[in-house]
Amino acid sequence: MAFIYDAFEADRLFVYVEAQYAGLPANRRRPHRLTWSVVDSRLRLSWTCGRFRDGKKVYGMHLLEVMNPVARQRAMENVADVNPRLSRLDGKTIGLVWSGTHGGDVALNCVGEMLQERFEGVETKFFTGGNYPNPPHILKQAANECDAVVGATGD
Amino acid sequence: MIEVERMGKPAVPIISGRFEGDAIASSRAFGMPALRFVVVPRIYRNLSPAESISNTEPAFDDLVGMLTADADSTYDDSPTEQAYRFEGEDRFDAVQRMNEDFLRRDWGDGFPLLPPTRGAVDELIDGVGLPGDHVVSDMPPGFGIATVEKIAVNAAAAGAGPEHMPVIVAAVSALPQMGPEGGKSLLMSTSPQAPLLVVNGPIAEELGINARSALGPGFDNRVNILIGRAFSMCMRNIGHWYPNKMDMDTIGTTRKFVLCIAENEKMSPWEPYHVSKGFDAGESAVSVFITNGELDVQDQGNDTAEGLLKTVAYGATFGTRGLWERHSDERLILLPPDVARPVGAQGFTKQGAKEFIHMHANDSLGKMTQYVPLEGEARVAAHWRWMKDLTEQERLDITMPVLESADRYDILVVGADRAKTLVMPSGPSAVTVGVDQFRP
Repeated sequence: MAFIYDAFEADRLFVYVEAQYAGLPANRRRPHRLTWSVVDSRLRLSWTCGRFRDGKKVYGMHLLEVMNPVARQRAMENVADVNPRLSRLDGKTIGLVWSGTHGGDVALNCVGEMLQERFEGVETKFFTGGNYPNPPHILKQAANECDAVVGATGD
Repeated sequence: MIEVERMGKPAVPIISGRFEGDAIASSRAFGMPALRFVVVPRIYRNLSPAESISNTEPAFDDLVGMLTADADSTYDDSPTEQAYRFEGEDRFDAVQRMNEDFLRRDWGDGFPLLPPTRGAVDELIDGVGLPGDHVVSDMPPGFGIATVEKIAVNAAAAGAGPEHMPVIVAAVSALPQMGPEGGKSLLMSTSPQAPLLVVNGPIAEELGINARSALGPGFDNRVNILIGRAFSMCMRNIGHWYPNKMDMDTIGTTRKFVLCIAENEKMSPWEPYHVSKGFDAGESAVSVFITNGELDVQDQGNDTAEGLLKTVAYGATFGTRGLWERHSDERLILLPPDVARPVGAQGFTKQGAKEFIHMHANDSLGKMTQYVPLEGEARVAAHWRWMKDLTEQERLDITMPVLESADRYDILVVGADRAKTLVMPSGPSAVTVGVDQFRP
C-alpha cells in the first residue's frame, strides 16, 4: 500500500508505528519495511507490515485526535447511595405516591392490595400532590410516615 | 423517589417500558445513579383500569425484591476521557471513523460532524472573552457542566466559527434561567418541545443571521443553521438531552434541529424584542424560547389592523390549554412585516396588539379541554373541577380566552414579504441574555 503524506504527518506515522511494535511481545513482532520518495514536494510513503495485537490488518493511517464533547453532570459530583432495603415487609407501612397521571393510581392501589394479601400486617398509605413532580411536603410526609415508598409517574 | 431516598427511606418507582433509559439517565442527573426501579411493559396513561392492573401484577415479585433485597449499587460513570483517537487511511477516512463512533454513541444529530481537534476547539475558545475552564451554566435537562471549552468542543463539531461563539455561549447561559429548572420537565416530555434561539441587536447583521425566510435550509440560513446546530449539540452532550434517555418524545419534531433566527428589526414598526426586555437597541442579545408546534396562519386580503390581528388571533387558538395548577402555556407569534407594519401604522403598539389578540383568541372550553378527562386525573386544578357537573354540550357552549392574559403572548417581527404569520405554542416564558459580555 502506498499513501501520500506531508512531512509532518509522515513523522507522526513513524512514531506511531514504532510505538505499536514496541508494545508487542518480542516473539510477535513482525519485520516491517518503510520506504519513501518525494512526489510533488510531498513524501510518498510505502511499507508492508504484519498484524497488530488486535488482529486487524494495518495499512497506512492518519491519526485524528478529537476532544470529548460530553460534559460531566453536576449531580455526579455528589452522588448519594440508596438506603438499605427492608429485612421483611410484614408489619411495615408502605407509602404509595401518585404523581396524578391517569392510571398511576390504579397501579399503586393494585400494588397496595397485593402487598396486604401476601404479607402479614402491611399498612399502605396513599399520597398525592396532584401534579408532577410531587411537592416536597408530600414527599416528606410519605418518608416520615412510611418504612418504604412505591411511586408511579404514569409516563 | 430520589427525594424520598435522600430522606432516608427505600423508594422504588414503577417505570413504564420505554422509560427505562430515562430512569437510568434521570437517576444520574439527580445524583443517585444506583436508584432501583421496576419496569412494567406499558405506559399507564391511556390504559383502562383492567389493563392497568394486568400491566402491574407481573412486576409485583420484582417490586418486592427491590424493596427487600440489597443489591450491588455500582454504576457506570460518564466517560472521562479528555480525547479520542481515530485512525484512517487518510484524514477523510479518519473523520468518517470518528463520525461512525460519535453517531453510534449518539453524540451527534445524525448529520456528519466536523472533528473537534484541540486546535479547532482553541480557536473557538478564543472567540469568547473567558477562559476555557470558566463554567457558563449547569445545562438542563441533565445539568451537565457547561464550561467554555465543552461548549467549544460541541460548536466545533457542529462547524461553528469563533465569531458565532458569543451567541452560542449566551444561549447556553440563558436556558437554566428559564423556570422551572430551565424547562427541564418539558424538555424531557413525551411532547416535542424544542428550543428556538432569537437574536436581536447589531450582532445579528454582523454574523449574517437571516431575519427574513429564517426557518429553513439553504445558503441564506447558513449562520442560522450553524449557531442552532452548535446549541443543539450543547443540549445533547452537555445537557444530556439524548433521545430515549432524557428526551422521551412520542413522535418528535424537526424543530429539534434547533435554528437560530434574528428579529427583522429594520422592518418592524415597534421596538426590538430585547429592548422590551430592558436592553438598549445598540446591545446584542439572544432569547431562548421553548416551542411546541408551529402553524402557518394565512391572511388572504385584510388591510385593516383589526382584520389582520383577528386572523392572527384565530391562529393563536392552535395549541392546548393546561388545566393544571401550574402550567406555562404561551404563544410565540412570528409576525411578518406585511402584518406588523400596517398594524403598527394604524396605531397599535406591540402591547396593544397583544391585548387585541388575547381578546379575540377564544375557543370553546369544551373543545379546549376534551383532551383531559376530569375523572381519574389528579392534575386538574381544583378551580376547574366545577366542569365535572356540566354536560358535554354545556362545556362546548362556554367560550373563553385560550390563554390567561395578554402577557402570555410574545410578538417577534420576522419574515419576508407576504402576510403569513407563524404561531408557535410555547412556554415557559423566554429568557433573554446579553451577548456582548461574551465577546473577546
